[in-house]
Formats: sequence, C-alpha cells, structure tokens
Amino acid sequence: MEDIKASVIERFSNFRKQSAFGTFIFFFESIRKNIFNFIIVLLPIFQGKYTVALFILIVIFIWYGSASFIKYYYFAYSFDFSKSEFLVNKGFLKKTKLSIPFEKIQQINLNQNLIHKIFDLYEIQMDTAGSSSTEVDIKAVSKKTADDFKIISQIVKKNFDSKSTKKNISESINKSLKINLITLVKAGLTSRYFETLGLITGTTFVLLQYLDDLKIDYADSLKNVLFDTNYTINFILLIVLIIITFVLTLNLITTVIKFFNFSAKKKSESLEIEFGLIKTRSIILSPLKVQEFRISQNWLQKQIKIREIRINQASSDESSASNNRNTIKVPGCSLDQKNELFEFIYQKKTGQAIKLKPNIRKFIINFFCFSLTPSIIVTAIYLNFPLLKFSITPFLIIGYLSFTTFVNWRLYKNNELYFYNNFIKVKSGFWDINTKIIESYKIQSVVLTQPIWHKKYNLGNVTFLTAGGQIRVSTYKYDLLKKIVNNVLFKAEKTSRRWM
Amino acid sequence: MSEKFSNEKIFVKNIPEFENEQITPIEKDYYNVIAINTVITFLIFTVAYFISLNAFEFLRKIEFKLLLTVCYFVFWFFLFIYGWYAFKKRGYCFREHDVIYKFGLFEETVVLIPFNRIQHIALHQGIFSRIYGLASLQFYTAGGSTTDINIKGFKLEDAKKFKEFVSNKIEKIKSK
Repeated sequence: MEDIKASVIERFSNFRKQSAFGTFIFFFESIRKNIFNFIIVLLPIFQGKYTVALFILIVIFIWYGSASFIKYYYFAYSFDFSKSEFLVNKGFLKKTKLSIPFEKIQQINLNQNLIHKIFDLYEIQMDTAGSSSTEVDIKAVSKKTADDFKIISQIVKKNFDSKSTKKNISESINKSLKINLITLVKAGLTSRYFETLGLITGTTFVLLQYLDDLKIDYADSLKNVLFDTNYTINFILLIVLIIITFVLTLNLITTVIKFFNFSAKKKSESLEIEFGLIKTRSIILSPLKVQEFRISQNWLQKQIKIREIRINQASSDESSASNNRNTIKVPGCSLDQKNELFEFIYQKKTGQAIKLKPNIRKFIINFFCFSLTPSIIVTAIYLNFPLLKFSITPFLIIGYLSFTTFVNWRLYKNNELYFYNNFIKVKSGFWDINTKIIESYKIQSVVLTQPIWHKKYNLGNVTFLTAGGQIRVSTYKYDLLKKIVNNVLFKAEKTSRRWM
Repeated sequence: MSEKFSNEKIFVKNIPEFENEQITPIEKDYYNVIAINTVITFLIFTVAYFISLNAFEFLRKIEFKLLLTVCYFVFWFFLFIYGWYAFKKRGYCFREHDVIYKFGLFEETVVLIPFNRIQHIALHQGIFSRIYGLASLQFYTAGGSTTDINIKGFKLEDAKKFKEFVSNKIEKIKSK
C-alpha cells in the first residue's frame, strides 16, 4: 500500500495533462451546450443550399474542435504534497493559476457521463469550501488515473485528519451497504409524491407558455374540452387514477435510473458511494464533514419498513448548498442499515434523550391563520357578493377547512424535539415525517426568538445552524429552550474538535 | 461499537447561562445615525409622494386626498417611534467564548455565536457613523448569511478593541 502511495505521490507531483480523449469530451460538451447555434445550419437547408449548410457545419465543428483542443492542451494539474496544495494551471489567452490547500478540499468525486463511458474515462470533481466554482474540475482522466485519485483522496484526507485532534480507529474495511432493485422499486413507489406532482404541474405550465410563445392558440380548444366534458364521478375517478399512475411510474423510473446499483463501501475513514444506471455517480463521504443526518419516512414507507436518508456535508455558501454534491441520498434502507450508517458517521449511538413537545398554541395559531381566517373571508365574500356564487363553493370551503385543520393538527402532533447528550433531533412533517439530527458541537450559531405575544406564556422559538442544514422549532417552552441552548453552546465551546 | 452501558447526564449542571449576562446597550449616539437615516428616507419619500400626487391623473382624481396624507404622516410618525424603541432593545455581550447579540421589538431575538465558529470579522464605518466616531462589527460564520450578525453602533476604539479581542480568540483556537 505504501509503495503505491509513494509512486502516486511521485507521479502526481509533476504537472500532468488530462487524457487526450479529453478533447472529445470538451468537444461533445461544448456542442451539447451550444446545440441551439446549430439552427443556423438549418436556414440554408430550408433554402436548398446544401453546400453552404455543409460549409457552416464544418466551420462550427472546426471552431469547437480547436477550442476543445486548446482547452485540453492548456490545462494542467498537479499536487504539491509538501505544501499540501492542489495546483491547476489553465487558460490560453487568460492564464489562471489556482492553488487549493488540501484542507479546503471537501471531497473528491468521480463521475461518468455517457461519453465518459464510451471512452472509459472519468470526470473528477473537487469540492471546495467557500467557493461555488467548479473551475477545478478535471473533465477527463483515464481509469488508472481515476483509481490513483482514490488513493490521493485518502492522502488528502489523511493530511487533513492529522491536523485534527481526533483520530478515528480504522475498522471494518470494505464492508459495504447495498440497495437491491426491489428496495429501489419500493422506494420509488412510496416517495416524493408531492415533489413529482409539483414538477408535473410546473412542466405543464411551461409547456403552455411555450405554446403561447409559438402563437398557437390553445385557449379556445382547451375551453371547449373543459366545458363540453361530462363530469361524471367515473370520469373524475379515471382522471385521478391516470394522474396517480403517471406520478408513480415517473417516480419509479427516475428512482431506479438515478440510484441503480447503489452501493456504499466502507473505507477506513470514509464511505465510498456509487450509484446510477446511465450516469454513474461516485461520492466520497467523510464523517467529519457531515453536518446533518436526515431520515424521512411516510406512512406507506412505515408499513413496508423502509426509510430515506439524506446526509448533508458542510458547504459554506448557499449556491453549493443547493448543489447536490454535498448531499448524499440513500433512497431506501432498513432500520439496521440506518443504524449502521449512523454509527459509522458518528462513532456512537444517540443515547438517552429529553423529549419536548410544542405548546398547543402552535396548532391554535396556525389554525387561525391558515384555516379559519381564509375560510371566513371566502364565506363572507360568498354571502355578500355575487363573485363566488357557485353551488360548489360551500363544499369547497368545508373541504378546505377540514383538510387544513387536519394538516395543521398532524403538523402539531408530529413535531417533537429531542435533546441528547451529543445530539439534537427534531421530528416534523405532515405526510413525509422528517427526522433531522445534528451533532451538538457542530453548530455554527444559535438564534432564539420570542414574539411578544408569547412572552406571558413563556414560549419561544429556536434555530440551530450548522454549515449544512439547520434545525428550527417553534412555540416550545422558552425556559427549556434556553437551558438546551446553554448546554449546546457549552458543548461547542468546550471542544477543540473540528467541525469539518 | 459494543453495547456499553452509559448513564451520562444530559443537562450539565453549573454551566453559564446566557440569559443572566449583563447586556450592554448600543451607544446613545448611534440613535442620531438612525434618526438621520430615517429623516433622509422620510424626505425622499415625502417629496416623491407629493410629486406623484399631482403628477398622475388617477391620483389627482382621488377625493380623500387629505385623509391619505394624514395617514401617510401618521405612518411615518409610528415608524419614528418604532425606530426609537427598537433601538433601545439592541444590545450585545462579549463573553469568554462567545458573542451575544440581542435585538427586536415585536420579536425579541438573541443570536449567539461561539468564537471558535467565526470565520472572519469585518469592521464597517458608514458616512454618518464617521461623524459620530462609530463603527459596526460583522461576524461571519459558515452557518449562512442569515445569522451573520452585524452589530452597529460601537465607538470606533471599542470596535477595534473587540475586533482585536475576537481575532485573538480565533487565532488561539486555530493554533491549538
């Protein structure tokens, strides 16, 4: 092992280029990005001037080709292991020299797109703290170099860890967690209903907008369809059934494609995660950088005993927080797998907890604001103005009132705050019950708020912020929250452990 | 990871309680800065209000102009009052290991940041603050910009002193 490391260190200490096939990757990528420019080619074709079209096509190809070659030729990277820095030199006209200290490298990801698979290449993404730039991505390296990078990432991490006071005991090397197809199917059928429904609605509106832009008049025909249809119960049921089937199928397909062959291999100090059918993604997770551990489970998933896990790693700016490179999702796993993952990351169990529930006023206030007030307003309009005089309106109002009351009640009932010796956990949700866990000492700051109308009831809200995700609870007993905050701060200030 | 019996207590006894700390109010002079800023905004808005009242056809036709104007001034009156009471609510406290910032009239807010989580500190000085020799300190953490607190209205020498104090703390923690 040490020999391999030494040879890797020696080879990567000099500036090296990417794989020459990288030119192709750049080429295909720039074509993919600029595909709309190829519309120019279509113009002469419509006019029947095929030679002109061919000429333009060749010019475009040469242009992108040479640009890709220049991009490949003037990109070199190396590692300065003595200074613990990753170096990149790039640019043809505008030269750029980048140096990134190892400790700023959060993780090294290996990716494969379709084109990469054809040439058997890998893309290497370096995640850095504090900047959203993907400037340090190495677009194309050979399989061998990619393997070397796995070793390098360990060296980089070791370098990082040797500075920290805590040293993990290496154990259970190469144990792995796998998710089989059946679990994936289960997960696909039971999760993300609201997300997908929202996505479909969004897409429909975008499509309608697109039709509008093309000056296709769909409004009349749509109106005709809407008014001419006979709305029998059967018809409505059929529509609902179609929508449900569509959502389920879409969820199933996307989940299976995205997470196919999900495996998490335990290395001594990190977890190597690989998944994907068409695009294989590979993420290296290091426990130290984990900020938030989230478990999500809805009623259906509870019946078939699976849960979704989401692990947030540190990211210091907002733009990369949305970037899913810092978030690791495990689509479906058993309780044992969850516990194993949790213990691997935190090296301990949660232990005893103090459990807190919000005050009933949380429900009452939400009920007044979001259920009762809108209903009363709409009823008043219905009774006094001809604006909403439909026979269906009273039913809609009653339906809205009972549904939102139910939602608010569930939200209140499901909300729980647990305070452990080393962790803070919060449960919340209406359908998908989310359980967020953060390690107390990893908090960045705490915000306590108390609206003046809650002062005499001794109620307040608290937010614990970490470098990747936050926990917020509202309308809890303020004295207890203060006590918890004092304890959490004590944990964070007493320790000299690194938070990432 | 073997099943080890542990019975650690969850709440630690005898730890400092932030709610008992003496909160230092903001320098009185800083209210002048707030007042100047509010007056300037007020003047700009008022000029814009009267111009638009006469410039636009649909506004000129309004019959309850007087009432509208009265409401407009009452609104600003309350804004001034609010500014004064909100100012009185602001305060800070530097402890050995963290900084506490308190503010908010309708929603009392306390932000607590441990020194070992601060990335860097910035000292700002606005035009009007300079007249009164005041400065503000901004603390950046990795928790996101929502809680990066900006404590305004220190005396310049105090601000420098606190910045030095906190910077030293951060250095010490890093070199550990």
